[in-house]
Amino acid sequence: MATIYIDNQPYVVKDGQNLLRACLSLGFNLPYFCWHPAMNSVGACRQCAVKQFKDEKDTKGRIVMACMTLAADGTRISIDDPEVRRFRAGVIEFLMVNHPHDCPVCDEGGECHLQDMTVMTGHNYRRFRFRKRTHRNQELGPLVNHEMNRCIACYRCLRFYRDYAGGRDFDVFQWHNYVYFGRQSDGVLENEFSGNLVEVCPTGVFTDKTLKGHYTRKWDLQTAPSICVHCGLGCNTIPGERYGILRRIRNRYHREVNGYFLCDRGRYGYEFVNSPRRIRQPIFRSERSGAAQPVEKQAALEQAAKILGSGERVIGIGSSRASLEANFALRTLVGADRFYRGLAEAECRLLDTAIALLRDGPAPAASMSDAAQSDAVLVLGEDLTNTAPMLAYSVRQSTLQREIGLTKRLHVSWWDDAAIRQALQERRGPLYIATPAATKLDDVATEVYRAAPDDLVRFAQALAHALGAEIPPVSALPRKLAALADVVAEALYLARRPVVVCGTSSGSESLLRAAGNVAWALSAAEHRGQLCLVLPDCNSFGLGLLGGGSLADACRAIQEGKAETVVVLENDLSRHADQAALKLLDEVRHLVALDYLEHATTAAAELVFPAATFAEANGTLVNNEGRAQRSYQVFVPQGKTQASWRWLQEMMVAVGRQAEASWRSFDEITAALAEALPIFAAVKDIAPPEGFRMAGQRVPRQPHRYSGRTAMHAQADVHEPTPLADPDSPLSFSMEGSQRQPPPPLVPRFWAPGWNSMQAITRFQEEVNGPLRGGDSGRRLIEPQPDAAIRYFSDLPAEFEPRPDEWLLVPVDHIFGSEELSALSPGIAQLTPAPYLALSASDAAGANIQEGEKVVLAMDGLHQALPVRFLPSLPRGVAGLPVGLPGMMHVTLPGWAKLSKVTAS
Amino acid sequence: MAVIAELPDNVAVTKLDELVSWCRKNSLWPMPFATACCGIELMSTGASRHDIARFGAEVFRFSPRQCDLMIVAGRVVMKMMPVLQRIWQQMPEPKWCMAMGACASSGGVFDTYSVVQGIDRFVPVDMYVPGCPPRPEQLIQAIIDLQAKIQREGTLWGREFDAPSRQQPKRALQES
Amino acid sequence: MTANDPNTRQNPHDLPPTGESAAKGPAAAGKKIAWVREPELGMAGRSYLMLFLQGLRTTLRHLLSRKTTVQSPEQRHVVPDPLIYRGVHRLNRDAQGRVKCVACFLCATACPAHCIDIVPAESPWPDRQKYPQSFTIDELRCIFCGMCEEACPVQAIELTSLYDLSGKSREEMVFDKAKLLSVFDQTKDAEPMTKGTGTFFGLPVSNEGTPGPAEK
Repeated sequence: MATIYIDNQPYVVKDGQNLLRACLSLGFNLPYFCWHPAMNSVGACRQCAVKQFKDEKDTKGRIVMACMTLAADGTRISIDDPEVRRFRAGVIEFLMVNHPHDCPVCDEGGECHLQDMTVMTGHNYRRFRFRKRTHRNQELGPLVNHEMNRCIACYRCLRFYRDYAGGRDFDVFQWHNYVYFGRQSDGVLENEFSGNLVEVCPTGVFTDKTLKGHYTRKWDLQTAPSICVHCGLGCNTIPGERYGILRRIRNRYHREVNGYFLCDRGRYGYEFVNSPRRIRQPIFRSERSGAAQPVEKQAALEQAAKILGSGERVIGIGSSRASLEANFALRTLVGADRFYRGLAEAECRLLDTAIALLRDGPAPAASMSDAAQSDAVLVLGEDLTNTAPMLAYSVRQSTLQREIGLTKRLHVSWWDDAAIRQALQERRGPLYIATPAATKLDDVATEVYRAAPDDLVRFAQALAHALGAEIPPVSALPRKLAALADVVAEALYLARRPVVVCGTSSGSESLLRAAGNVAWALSAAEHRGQLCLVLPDCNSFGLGLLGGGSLADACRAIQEGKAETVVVLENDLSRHADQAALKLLDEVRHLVALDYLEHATTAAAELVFPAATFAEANGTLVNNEGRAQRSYQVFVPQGKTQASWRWLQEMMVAVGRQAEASWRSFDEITAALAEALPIFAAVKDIAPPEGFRMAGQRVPRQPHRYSGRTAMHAQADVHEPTPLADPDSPLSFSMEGSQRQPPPPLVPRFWAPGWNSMQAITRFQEEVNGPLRGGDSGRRLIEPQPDAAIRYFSDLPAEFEPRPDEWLLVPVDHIFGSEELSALSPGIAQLTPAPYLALSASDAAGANIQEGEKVVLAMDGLHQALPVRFLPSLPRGVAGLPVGLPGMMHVTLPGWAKLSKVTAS
Repeated sequence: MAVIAELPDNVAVTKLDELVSWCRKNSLWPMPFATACCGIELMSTGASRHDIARFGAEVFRFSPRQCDLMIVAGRVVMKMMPVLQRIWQQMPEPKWCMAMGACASSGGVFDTYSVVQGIDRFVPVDMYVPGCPPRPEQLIQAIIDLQAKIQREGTLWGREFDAPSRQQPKRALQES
Repeated sequence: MTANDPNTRQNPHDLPPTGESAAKGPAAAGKKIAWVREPELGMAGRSYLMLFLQGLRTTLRHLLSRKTTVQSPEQRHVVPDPLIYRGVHRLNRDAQGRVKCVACFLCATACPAHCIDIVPAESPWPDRQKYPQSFTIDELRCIFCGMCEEACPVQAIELTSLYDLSGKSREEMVFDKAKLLSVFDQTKDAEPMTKGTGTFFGLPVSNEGTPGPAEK
């Protein structure tokens, strides 16, 4: 610890950090632009000037940049010195020379770092009387809006996009007064993290284009803490709503999970909530194929009671995108032995394997922050950018970790970003990627290995063997590959915090087990080997822990006559079941569905209940590391929509099972869940209960600047409606409540006096980049067994042999389109590729197939004609099939398929 | 018709209802329910510059039993509401109510739990006068408008209670 | 007796600064106390006759002086400067007859009664990004403080000198965009938009159009 003196007051700060960080951690208002908590210092904007004094006798001092000065023991600085205040005001006056001052029409207004800093420095009178320079704006695609005139050239966008997110299509052009940030020509920003430019940019150069489509001022948004539902990572978000329309998603800082950023799928996928395909009212079909009739709530519940009857021969199908509480309510309705997970058999097996690896082995689950701080990463079979985008971002950051250690001998501080990148040049730490096809992380990878899933397993097993796992050596491994395995093993062995990344998207259970072997072997060797497993959906882990059979088991039950009524919870079964299973479900006597969107299952259901989305109901989601996190209701939905667990509870009451469904509030069902299943005991403690109050008040969902409150509904009814009550959480649907900082799970927005932008985050952290005050939210439900005897898996498939007339189809994921809900957002839909089949150019040439040509894919009775696209990195005999795209059938991958060319007729 | 034509010029014939309405509208006795700053402007309206007596409404009475026009001038808090309702009920029929100023009409800036968000949630209001406070001319205009309304709706047969504007509105305390 | 004795506490500013003299009270501190006696009234004074006549004189003077009563509504109150008077709102139009508002929400945010509600939409015109699809003011909520006018960066919302507004229902007092624009049409001749030209933070502002970012 070091003692520094700020305006003659002593403060104790951590060693080795810079003055700006220290000052912000201590809660001082010191303006800055080019610094960002996640991106460290470059000293470019000259805004964080402070006066440094040699010792207590020094009265003259000299102006230094706080972000570039070490907070060494005994440092004496002044923030309030008149000269340095004038200096800062002068700097901002220069920055504002060309700024258009169009705050009233700027989307950023009210949440603008530049506005805040201008007010903070006291610059309020413009002396420059000449023409401003103007730029041409670029069209950057459906997600990000570009308004270059507002730029103050802090370079944060460029640093984030190129240095941190790894984008290549964005750069700085021109010189001095004409510096221009953009693409070489108009076009969609290619990087998957481009949405973060909106938050990284201190002013309105980059703004959210989806928000522009249904604009409202940012202080008029009703917000609540939420969890992203578009992949298994569980990033923390802040959705904002007005007039019943979800308007945008903003990042909510969580040190262990997503840090300061979100991927574009998470940020822009929210618009499915406003989709015209939403179900807003209970629907009843008197005949299964008949027309849907909207019915009243009570009539629908009576109908449900009639269908469910005594509860005999009723099965429930849960969902990996529904909350724990909803799945638990269904499980209670149908009984534990009649609850099925709504996943295909292969998906269930993969999920169980993944959870078992984390629960039974010694290797702990790695959070995203662990992955970012790791100094050696091995990725097995996952195209992270497309299956778990924010994890790809973390892994990209990890490649600097080992090398930053090497810069110590250059006496460069770790926060001196420009100097470190200058010293490192293109050197990156160990990152090994073994996947069937090329990934976007390959550019920072030390080595990549392309092979079919079976060969990946063989490689991973060889690696585990080299690390000392008690498994037989892999025979007949090509010499080059064996050498690579040795190199990777050495790199992992020498690392302080190695992380092995694998996941379910490859479809190979053996690969998961082999990844477990590698991580366990590292743990056994007294290394902190960590395992990071990517799961497909936002609550896959929770559903896995809840247990239950697969869809195939459900079909078996139907076939055996054990079930004639099926209740499907928030699940489009056509995404998980094959044609035969779907047909069987279609023919079942009664099909009851609860969901928020129309899809194949709700179209076939006899009775459909309108469920609430993540923004309209509370829920607990368990992310891929097993962390249970609470997501709160943002707004009260229109129509008859309510949370699935409420519908299920009311159904149970309707059939006369009040005693079992005694939960009336969210806290009660969470407590019931914790009691019924001990594994979820922690779930009820992850967030404050409904009765929690700060100074006797709730936490307001609306900020204190919320406008138009009394006139919002005036055209419908001049009488202002009664504020809505929230029986489920300590948040209120109004401006009323305590403005103090709530505990981390309840933080509805980041705002502090003088800090309206996202940068207010430093006021909510214990220290810069530390946890939020009150500790990290969420809690892990499973812990590793460090002392248990390791039982290595000895799966060893045979070497992959290309077949002459068949192709091994492997899944190809797409960040935009592979996920069900986000694909319905108009912005994301524009970026979603049309279904295709990927082949390597050489294979295609062998089969005499041209790019763009249509081929018919035949697999397990499935026929689909798809255009061919070349994916050069695919191994021989392997074809890629995009999964989950709209219009694609469900198939279990990897699997063998025949291809035939479509003839002209 | 012949009878009417034979009458001398200084005799007018009208319906009883219209005659009664004419009398009543020109002799409104206001009950000043002034709780705040609008009350000052209400007094000003009664003073000689604006002279509400020109419209026959100068007889401010402080007993509700003698009044037929309640002018609510100022914000009404929830605790005051029973008093206001009691006074309203003590006024003999036919009677009219005027919400003067933003607070009485809608709650105005006082959008809080303790202030009644418009007295129309508890008593039927015939005229609303916006402003904070309204000018005396505005109040006079409201009285003229009210007079027109009285003449139009009549007072003798109690038909005024059929008018939609006199229906008891939804009450706040019954809503949820 | 000390200065801190609650029964005899003096205004501390009246007390001399030193503790020595403060202990002796204000008289000792050099202040002189003058005792005033009630004047004795004579016969004329006690009969109040003079005062009575004085009062009558005032009444007579008022009887004969110019009448102060304003014969409203026939005789309208003349607003000294209609441009600064805060009456009913209007939404201004530009030279092409389009609403000038750019849907920036500053009026709605400045409004202390929260009585302005705007629903923005993407503008169909090239000179601005947004325009108000709907613009609602609850005139009964409004306290006519003029902060909306003050906040408006493009002089789109103004308060006119129309003062005699009253309504029979709350619904009719909720003014929508069409109504607010019609107020402009009624008052534009009497009250032109004098503030319409000039500069707004260095950007030229005129009635022909509204400032916005440079054209794309």
